[in-house]
Amino acid sequence: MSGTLIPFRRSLSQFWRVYSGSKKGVLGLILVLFFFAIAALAAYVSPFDPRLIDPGRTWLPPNSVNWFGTDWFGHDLFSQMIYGTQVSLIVGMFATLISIIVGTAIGLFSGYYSKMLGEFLERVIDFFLVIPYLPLMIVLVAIFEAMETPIPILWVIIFVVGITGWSGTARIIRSQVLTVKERQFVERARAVGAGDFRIMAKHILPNVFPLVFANAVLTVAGAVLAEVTLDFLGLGDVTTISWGMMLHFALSNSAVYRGAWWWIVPPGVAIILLVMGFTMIGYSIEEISNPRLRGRKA
Amino acid sequence: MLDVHNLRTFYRADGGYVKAVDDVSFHLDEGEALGLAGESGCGKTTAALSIVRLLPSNASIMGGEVLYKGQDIVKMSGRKLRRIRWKEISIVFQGAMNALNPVKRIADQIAEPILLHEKVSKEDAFQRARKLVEFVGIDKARAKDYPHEFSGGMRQRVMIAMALACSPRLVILDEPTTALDVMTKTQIQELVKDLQKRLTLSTILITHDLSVIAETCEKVAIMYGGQLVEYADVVSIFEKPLHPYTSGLIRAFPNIYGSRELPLSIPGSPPDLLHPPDGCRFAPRCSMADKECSEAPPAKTVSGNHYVACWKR
Amino acid sequence: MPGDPARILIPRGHNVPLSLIARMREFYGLDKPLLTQLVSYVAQTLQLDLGYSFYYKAPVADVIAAWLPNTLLLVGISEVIAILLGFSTGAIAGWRRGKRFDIIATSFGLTTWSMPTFWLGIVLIMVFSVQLGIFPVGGVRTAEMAYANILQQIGDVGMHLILPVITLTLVSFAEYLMIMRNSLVDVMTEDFVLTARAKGLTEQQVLKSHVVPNALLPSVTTVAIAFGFIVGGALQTEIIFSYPGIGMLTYMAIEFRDYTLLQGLFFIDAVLVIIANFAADIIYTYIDPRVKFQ
Repeated sequence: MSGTLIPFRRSLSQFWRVYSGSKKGVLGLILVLFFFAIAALAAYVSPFDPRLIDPGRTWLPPNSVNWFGTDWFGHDLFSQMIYGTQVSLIVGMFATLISIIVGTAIGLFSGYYSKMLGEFLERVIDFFLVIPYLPLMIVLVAIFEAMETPIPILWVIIFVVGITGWSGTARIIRSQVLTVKERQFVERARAVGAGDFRIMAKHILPNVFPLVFANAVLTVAGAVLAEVTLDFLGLGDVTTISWGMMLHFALSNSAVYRGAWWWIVPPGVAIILLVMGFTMIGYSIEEISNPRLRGRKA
Repeated sequence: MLDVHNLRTFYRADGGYVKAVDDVSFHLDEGEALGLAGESGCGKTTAALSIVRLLPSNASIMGGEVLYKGQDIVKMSGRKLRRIRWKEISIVFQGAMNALNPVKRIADQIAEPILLHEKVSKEDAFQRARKLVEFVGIDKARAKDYPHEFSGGMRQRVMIAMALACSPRLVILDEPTTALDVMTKTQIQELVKDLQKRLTLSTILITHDLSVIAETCEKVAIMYGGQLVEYADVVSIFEKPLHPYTSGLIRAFPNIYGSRELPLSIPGSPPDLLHPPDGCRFAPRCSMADKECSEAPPAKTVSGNHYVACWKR
Repeated sequence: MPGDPARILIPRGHNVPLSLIARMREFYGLDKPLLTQLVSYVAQTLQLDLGYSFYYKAPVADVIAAWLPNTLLLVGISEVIAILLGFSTGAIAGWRRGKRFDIIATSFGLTTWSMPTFWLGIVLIMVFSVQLGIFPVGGVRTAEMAYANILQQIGDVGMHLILPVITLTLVSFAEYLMIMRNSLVDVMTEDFVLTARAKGLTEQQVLKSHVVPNALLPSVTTVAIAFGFIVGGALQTEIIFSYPGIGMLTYMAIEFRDYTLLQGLFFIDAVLVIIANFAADIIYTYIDPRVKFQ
């Protein structure tokens, strides 16, 4: 397999050359790396302990001590914002991991075995693609909570988001598999006696990879939004510091009526920037892998 | 009628310009049938598209003039240019390509330029469209069908019918038979010859297939590496090819009466048009090349009405 | 489904004789084996009897029927605007790919797509309802208001609808913008566009007559798929604006563990999704002559 490593490294540097030319892609990457840095260095960058309560300093708009102001308990919102990055990134990445694994597996099987199993799986993919995801996620979380499992809620959220987001990946993989399957070299591989898995791994996956990667990045964007929404609705762990939770408490403490815009706007803006970052990266990769999107004939 | 002088069309690329058409000149009279031949990438399609300025956004005409009935198309305003397009000069693209709009009926697509350029009623336009369809050998009733319901050969006929819609003076045919099987190819060739006879059309036929040119053209222009290397009437080209590239091209065709040998192909590959060589662009592959050929671009020498761009003739 | 519904109905902390619980279970058919419950549910559903809501003490079908029109109004208006806006902006953006309009339009769309729907709603309420007092804060009509005529009713409902519609529209339209833009860019590389130009058509004519009709094809398919996201967005919007639609109803059904109601709601969701997909399929067969209705 060493024969595939060297061309891979070469195509990687080639890819980077093209990618760095895309303004959208570079900007997205900067945004995402910025948030990763903050998440990693949270302990060093944060001026206060986000859970520190200061009853004398509640409902304060941004000031020289609390750059983003304080909430109803006197928490420093700037520190909360910094720590909130961690939850968003963790849930986003891990949930996407689940989605990609499940989606790739189902997509591969569905595309490769085109008879009964493939057709059936295609219907399943389509079904999950169109069912409204939010009610489903809410119900799943409710089920877990009612079951009173010892699993920490964070992982429940990760699982639920992951398990509802696989259909996009599956669809892409499936159509790619169908296309690649037609090509001759798969016929030849089979003629030589290569087993099914070998064909899938060695021939189909490398061709499918760029699109899957783009899709994965976009899935992270969606996962972050989903997590924020679940937290906001109060379904997440109320003891975690996350942007969604911040908004949850903001709303349940009538921040809107008290005009506490500093509690509401920054988390939203942070979410927007993080999601935008991932989306821009995803779109860039898509554009690069699909030459037609650049407006020229393939 | 059509005079192309020193046409230069370049494509913008990373690191410079691709000199797809570099100083090309030729002349076309009324009713003449010119064949533009050369291998893929030699610039023949770009040259033809330049005539009506149908170039992609990364290409532009860098110099020269294209005189149609005395007016320079290169310097023309957009509005004037659009009036010339199709009404005076039309193009037949390869029908095998997606050159027909898949969601519109054939009759609509043929009637479209008629309605655009002439003041006729919709009724009349569609009447004419149906007649044109018949003219090229397709059943009139099929005019209301969609492109995907036709075979490759029939789509080519439709393209031809469409090109004739406004009774143009010049029709450019870009590889009209390349993607077709031999039977259909002959049919289309016959159709083109028939049309040339019946209507006083000038045609420019672009192809890499010399046999088609032999069948349908009076004059031939051979292009190589973005430049015109030989120009003569069709008989002279085949009987007395002067440029080594031309003779190479002709030799590369198996002769049904000749000896049973592998045809000789031309060694080497076409020049990189981003950084073309200074001297004769064919020199690297030419068996007769020497010091003279690598120095300056060759002048065109004349032998009667037979032009050739080679030091050695 | 977890959480024995019978126990939930009975206020916590009270000591209830087991016999009462048993009788309640019998009333709601909870004592029969699970499979029987499923079968009878399907049978009932097919007869449009969706069961009885625990919380509302009324037939599920009635409850849903009361709340559904509000959602249809909200989602209907929002999506129509979003599609029109998204497609037209996307077409121009694709046509002027890389130029200022494209960059501005796609950036704007990207930003609104990345917004959590509920957050946008909250911000709009904060600015327009609380601070500026222009629009009402929630609900679909002013309570206890008697309408003098139909115009007044439309006006009142309209005022209540404006902010929720803006919220839902802004977040959805970006998807339509992107798909139209991308399929337009794709179509522009096709050969028949060159043919159209060669005929002497102006750029605008080429766009309207040849490019857009072809770019619509993949766009229509996407609309159907987007439906799943629309429901999620509508749910959030209704919750924030206390809008009495089935999104809000779903949320409350989950809160109060009203499972029959929830089942009915999921069923309605599924039906709506199927209808939407079906409609998209039919529309597609109309606009693409290569596809015949099956």
